[in-house]
Amino acid sequence: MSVLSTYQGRPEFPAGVPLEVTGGFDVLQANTRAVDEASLLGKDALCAHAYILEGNRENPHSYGQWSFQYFPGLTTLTWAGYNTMSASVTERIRFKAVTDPVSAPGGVVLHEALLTAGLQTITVLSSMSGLGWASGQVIEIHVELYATDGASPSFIDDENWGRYETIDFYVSPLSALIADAYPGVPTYTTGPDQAKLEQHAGALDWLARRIGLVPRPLFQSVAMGMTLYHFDDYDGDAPIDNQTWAGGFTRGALDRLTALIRFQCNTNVAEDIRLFVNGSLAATQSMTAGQQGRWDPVVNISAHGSTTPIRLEVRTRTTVAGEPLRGSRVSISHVRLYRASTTPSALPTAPEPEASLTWSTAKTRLNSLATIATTVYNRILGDSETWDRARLYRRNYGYDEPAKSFFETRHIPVVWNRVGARLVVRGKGVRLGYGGAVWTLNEPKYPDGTFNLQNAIEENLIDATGFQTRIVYLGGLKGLGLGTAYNTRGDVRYAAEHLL
Amino acid sequence: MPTIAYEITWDLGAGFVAMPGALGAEVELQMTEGQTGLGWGNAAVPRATIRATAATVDAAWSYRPVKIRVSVDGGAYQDLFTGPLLEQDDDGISLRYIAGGMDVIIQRAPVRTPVRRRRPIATLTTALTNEDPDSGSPGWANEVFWRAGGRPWDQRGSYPLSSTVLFYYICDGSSVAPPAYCVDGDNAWESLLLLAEAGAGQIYQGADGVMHFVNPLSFGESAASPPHLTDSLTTVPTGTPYERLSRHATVEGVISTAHAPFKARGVQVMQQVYEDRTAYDVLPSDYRDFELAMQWPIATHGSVTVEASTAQGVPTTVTPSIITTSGMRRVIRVTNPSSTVGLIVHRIAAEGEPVSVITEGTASFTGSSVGPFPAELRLPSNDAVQTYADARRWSRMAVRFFNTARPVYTATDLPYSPLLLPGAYALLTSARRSLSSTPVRITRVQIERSGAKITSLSCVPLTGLPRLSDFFIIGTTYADSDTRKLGY
Repeated sequence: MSVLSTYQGRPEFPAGVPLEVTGGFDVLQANTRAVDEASLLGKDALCAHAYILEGNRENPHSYGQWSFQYFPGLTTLTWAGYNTMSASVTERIRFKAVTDPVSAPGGVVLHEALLTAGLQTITVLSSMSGLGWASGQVIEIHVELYATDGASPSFIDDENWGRYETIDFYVSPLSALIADAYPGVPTYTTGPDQAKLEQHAGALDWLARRIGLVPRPLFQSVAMGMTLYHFDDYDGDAPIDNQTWAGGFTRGALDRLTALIRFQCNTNVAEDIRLFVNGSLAATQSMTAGQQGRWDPVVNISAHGSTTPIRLEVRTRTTVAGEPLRGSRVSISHVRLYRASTTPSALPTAPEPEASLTWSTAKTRLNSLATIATTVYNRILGDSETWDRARLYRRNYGYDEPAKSFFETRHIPVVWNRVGARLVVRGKGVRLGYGGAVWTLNEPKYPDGTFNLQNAIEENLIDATGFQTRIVYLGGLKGLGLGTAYNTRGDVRYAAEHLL
Repeated sequence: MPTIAYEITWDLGAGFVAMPGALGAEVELQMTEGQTGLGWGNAAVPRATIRATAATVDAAWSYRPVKIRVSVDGGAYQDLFTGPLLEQDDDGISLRYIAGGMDVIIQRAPVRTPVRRRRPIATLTTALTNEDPDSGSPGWANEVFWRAGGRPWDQRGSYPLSSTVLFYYICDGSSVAPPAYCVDGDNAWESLLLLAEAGAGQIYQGADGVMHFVNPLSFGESAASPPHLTDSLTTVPTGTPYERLSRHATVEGVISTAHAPFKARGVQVMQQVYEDRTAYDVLPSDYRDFELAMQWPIATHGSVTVEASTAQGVPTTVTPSIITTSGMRRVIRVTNPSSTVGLIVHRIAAEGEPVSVITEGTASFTGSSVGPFPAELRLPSNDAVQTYADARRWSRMAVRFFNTARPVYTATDLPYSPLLLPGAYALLTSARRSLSSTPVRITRVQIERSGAKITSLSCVPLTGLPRLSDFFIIGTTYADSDTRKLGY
């Protein structure tokens, strides 16, 4: 992935002053590069969960806690999932909105529906007006499953233990959040016309605002997740498959999928990491006993036109029944979609301050920038799956305290390589760390999978006294350049970057 | 020597009329700061001393505008000075008035604006521009002039001088447009000078009392039929001869490197931006105004919450009314609805989207060496310089303007000419100093009380100074083959 250029804000072109290089032409050029590169950027796959189904056996059962930032104009909340439930029980899925996790943690039911096996898409909301949500407010969506026949607390019993995966969850349409129409770009002819320059700057600003609308929820990475949870039962006659991570995507114009996985094989036998796309094995990485390594498979997903589930599994092979095994470690930094071709448009030569040139040359360069802006505009309009939907943020795993503790001590809630200009974050006691990371296993001699993480630079974003929403302008954090890895910790209820 | 005639008038509320008993005036016009008169944020303001007989005493003299006009050799009267009366000395025989520039009027005007986004430091005034900041989008300097009682000179037909229209102004454009800025000051003049500094411009007052915001790139521009200061009428028959020409040069202010700081701003989400838990009482049927001063400029103000109870301790819902709102403060009014029981306000809170500093840094530029030592200029921190691009251009321009030592020439004993005013473009010739029609900018003029001559005039050579005409100017038409610079 390329490191993005940053949008430099809309330049002004008052009459009677030089066109300017610094702050004038070069801002048009930098902004053109920024929107061009940003519009080529892919997106992360939706992160459903780690393992098979988090938490314990209760009725209702948490199916994940999500969140998004509401703005007037958004109308639709859509959920898509993939389930391998048994037909012998009746399960329903329920969506609840939590706007105040302190005074009303139970939230309000927005919608519920019968859960069906296989792929299922549910329109949770088709209108968000009248719900009392304020512009910019972070809305938590708690999803629950519950059984209606007998309401047994153990309804997710052995016969129903399987895949319950959210593969897409988004609000739309983002395009409704920009009130003004795209102004188009001018054609320069006989001089630096003020109206044309303002139109040009306005077009780039529109593109930046349009691109900037799309939140990039920080990824719930899996850090040093243990595999092997069922080896106790192993009888040595078949491979053991341990689901490690699950998610999904709706690819739009993106045609490649990659993941960044680091592994440490702790078993005394070989293992395979296996990536499945839409249920089919798409890539495999073998791990030999004691091996440490990195795997970043690339899968052509251009054949998958609709919402598609993906999952990672670790398959352990051994022929010795009951042999005590130790779980391997698998860290998943991202699962990402991108374009096979991400070559940015060729920019005209950047003028040096105080360099002389003819108006013909200057005009040609300005018109070249305008043409690129049109290309970007068409690129955004041609991929509504990527640019018109805001994916929900997946809150850290677990929904009761023991489950949260279990997951938080084995997973970093969010690890992310900065691509954006600003981070919108809501939570309580939220810290952001970057630079020199030190991971300390809590039980060095007999690792239980729990660890502590300390970064060289730690920023307190939100104190622990109450829930707040903050915009963090990432450029203001010294050393946190584009592409730099960082993590957020604490009770993070929402965290999403915006490119511009 | 030419024959000089003065006309001294004042406006006591019914238009300009001759000041009775006026005997003469002494006028000094100069740049307020800087060796060369080219400094950014500088201002040129006039001061005049008027002598009159005791008959001129008028109880309502303070701040009355006075106008001094001059006729040379029986020609038409031309403006020399316009400004308000500030001091009066009466020794029983004669009167002495001291008049100042419009800066005195402007500095008494508090200006508080909302936060505005990407508004240029100044915009070019024309007969057609909407200068009203409440309905148009004038530049910052334009807005401060307007709110201090100024109106655009090009639109003076629509705005005759009155109790609310106090002066006129003309602005050049500025390339600097801070992303999020507001003016919050009790002294609009100081606000103007800060804006001029950020825009690398100057403020000066013309002889007609019109205030100018000047783009520095116009300093070096030539003017049609400029006055010519000369050592010999033989050399320049149409010039203004001076008796002596002295020259002062200094290493001070000559730089090779400029460092320009900037502070980038970002708008935060709606949040509590003000809280006051002090107890205040409001008497029955009375009200109390509260000024809520914010720590940061507020881009968008939100709700105001007032928690109160009656004097007996019964919680009471109070809805304040908003009196005024600006970027840095809100004034609210809390009215006690009861005619019998006092009200105790115990908490006031306000929400808003604050504009906070998100990053800061410095841009630097180095030009030619000017001596054996590093000669650096650290430009002052200015709230209106908010982007790296602006700081970068600021530092480059500073080096281009101040990299060359510019001596100050002072001519003495010149015949009076109404064209010789601070800020004016002129030519300077001196055989002794090998100057032949050298372009200069006048930075100071001192006029003798008799008015017959200028006792002292300072000017600075403009050779090598960047000019607007070196660049492609927005709004100007060019042929494909025209060659210019895009800018800094």
